[in-house]
Amino acid sequence: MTATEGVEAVVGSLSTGEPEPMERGTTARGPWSPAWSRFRKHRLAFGSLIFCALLILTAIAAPLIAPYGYEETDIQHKLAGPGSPGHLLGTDLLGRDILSRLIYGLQTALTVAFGAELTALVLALAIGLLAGYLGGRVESLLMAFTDVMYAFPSYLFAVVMVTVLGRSIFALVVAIGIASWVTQARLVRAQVMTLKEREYVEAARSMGAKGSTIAIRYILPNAIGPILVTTSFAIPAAIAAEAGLALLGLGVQPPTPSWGAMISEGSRYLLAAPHMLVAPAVLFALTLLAFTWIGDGVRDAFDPSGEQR
Amino acid sequence: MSEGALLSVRELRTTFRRDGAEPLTAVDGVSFDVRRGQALAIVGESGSGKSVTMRSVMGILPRTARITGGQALFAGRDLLAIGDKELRKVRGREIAMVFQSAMEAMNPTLTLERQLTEHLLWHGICTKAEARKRAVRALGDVGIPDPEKRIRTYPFQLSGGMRQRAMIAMAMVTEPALLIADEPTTAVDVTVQRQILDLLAELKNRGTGVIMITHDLGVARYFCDDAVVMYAGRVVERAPMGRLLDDPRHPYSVGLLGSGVEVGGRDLPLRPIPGSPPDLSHRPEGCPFHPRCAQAELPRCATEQEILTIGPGRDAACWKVAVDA
Amino acid sequence: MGLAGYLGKRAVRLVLSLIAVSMLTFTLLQLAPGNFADLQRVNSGATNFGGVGTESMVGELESRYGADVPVWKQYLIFMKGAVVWDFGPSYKYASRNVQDIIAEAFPVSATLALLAVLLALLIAVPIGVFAALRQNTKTDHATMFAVTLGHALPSYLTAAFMILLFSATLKLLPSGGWNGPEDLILPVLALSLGPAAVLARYVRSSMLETLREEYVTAALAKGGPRRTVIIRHALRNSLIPLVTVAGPLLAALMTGTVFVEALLRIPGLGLYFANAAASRDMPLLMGTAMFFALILMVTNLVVDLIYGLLDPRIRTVGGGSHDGH
Repeated sequence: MTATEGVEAVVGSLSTGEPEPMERGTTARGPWSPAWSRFRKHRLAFGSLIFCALLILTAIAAPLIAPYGYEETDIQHKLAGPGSPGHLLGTDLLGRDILSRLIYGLQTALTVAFGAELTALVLALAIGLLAGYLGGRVESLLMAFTDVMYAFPSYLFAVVMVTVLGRSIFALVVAIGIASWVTQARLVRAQVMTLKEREYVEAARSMGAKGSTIAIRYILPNAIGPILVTTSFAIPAAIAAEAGLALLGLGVQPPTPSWGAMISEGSRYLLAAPHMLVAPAVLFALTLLAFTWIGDGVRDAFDPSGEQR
Repeated sequence: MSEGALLSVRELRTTFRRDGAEPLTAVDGVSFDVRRGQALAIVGESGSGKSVTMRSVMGILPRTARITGGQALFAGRDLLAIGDKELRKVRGREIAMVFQSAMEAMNPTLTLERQLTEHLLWHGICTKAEARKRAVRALGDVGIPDPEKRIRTYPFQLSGGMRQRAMIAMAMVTEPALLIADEPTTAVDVTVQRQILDLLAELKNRGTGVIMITHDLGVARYFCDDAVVMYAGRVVERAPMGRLLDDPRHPYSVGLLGSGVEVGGRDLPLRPIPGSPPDLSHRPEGCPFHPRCAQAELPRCATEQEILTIGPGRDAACWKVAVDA
Repeated sequence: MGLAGYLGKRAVRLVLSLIAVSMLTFTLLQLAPGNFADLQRVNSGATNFGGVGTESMVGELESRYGADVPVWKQYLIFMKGAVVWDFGPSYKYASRNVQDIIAEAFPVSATLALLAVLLALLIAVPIGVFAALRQNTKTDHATMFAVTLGHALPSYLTAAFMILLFSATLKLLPSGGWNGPEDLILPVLALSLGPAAVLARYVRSSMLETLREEYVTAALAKGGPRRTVIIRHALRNSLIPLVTVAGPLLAALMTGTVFVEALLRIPGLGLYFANAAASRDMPLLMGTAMFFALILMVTNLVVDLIYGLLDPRIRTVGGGSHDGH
């Protein structure tokens, strides 16, 4: 699937950057430090990580960094080109500063993406662990449900969800999150199925550990590697999904900026003001690439032999 | 090159490139001859370099491999020097190859007809219609019933034994002078083994030279005239088959026979050779077999290895042979 | 299991999935706050259709479903229409039936999707093969890096860059609309790059795997010219599993052209779907959602059947069951 089709690609998603849950398990420490040192050696991925960290900081500190508010209009300088005094990247049709809108758009994009992937992660873990661990009828039922969800193009589902929930950040988080948990849930289940036959799980069970204890303390920490790999690729997909929905007029309610909406607007004034399209398109592309390269790095770190490629 | 030899390999060396390490020498100065209408067995454990030797001669090595020395004289030409374009005319036409498993060596998505005729066309041997006739005949020759019908099937539709025969037919359809059989009986069950060996013996009797690569002396002795024993990329002993079986000289050959590789129906290992074959990246100095050899005398065995001629068509790479004799 | 039995089983599964999808969509949409009429009131003046559909919608709702009908009954009525391909009129495009809109707009999306997948294959196969044959060289790494770029960027972003380049800068192509064949170029190009990246990666790894197969070596050992062996033995067998990737890509594209359609103002079905969602045009939304789900599932079924046709191992086992390899 192309990362392309907005939400379509979210079909395998979860949140990254949640190192805490993995640190919990005693057995989990093993793979982490070699994985991290492999990741650090991946120059492109490590550089991307720094770039993305800067993006995240920018998004958090948006009101401090952005030269203007996203709604603020400069009526004297509508459609000002890039480099005009006071407007580094120019202004749009209403005289709003494009740089500022890009920064607030970044905030929208990252909030939705991380929120959605966190939602998906929680859903996928809950359902995947349940299905994989309990087995039997619960499993067939849950997996039948994921099968139906699988047949449903995930972007269609996200569109329907946004229709139901309205055009808010919360709605987008839920819509994209729900549309993207299916693949991840399947992955979790598959992991659990293999892991639960392992010796140490058997051992724990023989010593009377409860099912939930085993699931959380033993299985989860060991399933997390592959999940993290899929998750890190799902972040850029969720960013693309948010922009895609905005492009369709189903993103956050204006005037809150979204890159997708900016791209859509820019394409309409292509000849008069190409800078309206260039700026968001370039920043969007760089962001997606950086997150994707982080994903590459994570995959190589957890799978140095390249089997998952 | 010795008189009447069909293929004469001299001092062949093949190495494999490795990431961040010295190249690995898989074949190290191997020499042997095959005569027309005779069968030569190349015997050795897996990893001894016997397959790589023959694939070097055929020019079908993987990309990481390089031939770094030696000659392979066939019909007056050095196959290692003539270049791939010329070698291609010999390959499959004058020297054909039979592989361990037809399941893997035959393309699962092409019919037997396609696979049995394509090289006749590549080599411009005959027309398409004639090629089909020859292919049907070749299938009949290897004992496949109803070849007219079978030629339209895919390899996986045949039984294991039939498939193995079809592969032999594929090799023989161009009527090559030399057939290289690389463990042709390893992947099939015992009853089929016998049939395949009978088939190869018959080919030999009709004048085709055969090189049989095998780890199994029991298979090798079935119809081979001569034997070459390989260990860790080197030839350790060369002898007429009967002589090798009766009177092996190199301690490794002795061990190989002693380990009871099914001679005369017994297949229980009698005295297995202690230890395991060396990892080629850590090949022992001198005679590579000396760490496993009960008769090894240090330091001499760990510093040099010489090849001694001990009779007509016989030599062994062990200085102790001369002392014993 | 015969083909008929297999088809029957798949058809049952397809119908069940469709019912599940329709129930899910219907239920969700019932939960949606506000309806078409509310939205029109809020937006009146803001859209060209301000108020137009409102009256007819209420009238239509009542004539189709009756007044105050419980939700489950509304669903049944909707489904009764759906099975005979009658989704009733759209709210937003008040003079037209949903099925007529689908009939008009789907061919536009399908054309884009088909052309994009074809173009993707044309780009991906040579690139994948090229990279595989130069595995681990700089060319290979550079090619695969370019592929990552194509993979990471969504089609609408690619389209945005393309209109910047071809329309704004070079002034070669129109920046959107749907008037003539030249309007096909940008969307098809933009839609094809992502799939091309996926396919190229797949072709490369599949090719690498096949090149290691013994039957490729065996074909070379028969004296096959390298190019012929690569095309007939390696490429052919590498491309068979490609169908399993290209098929779902086509299915995804059939329903996934919407973003490019929105950006380039192309009146495809995706655009209608998005507009229906934005304006709460329930019949159109339900109709298109179900149609998309149907297309997705039918395409997947067709892909499985084609896969069975291409691979003789599956073809003869029958019914497209995927065992036997």
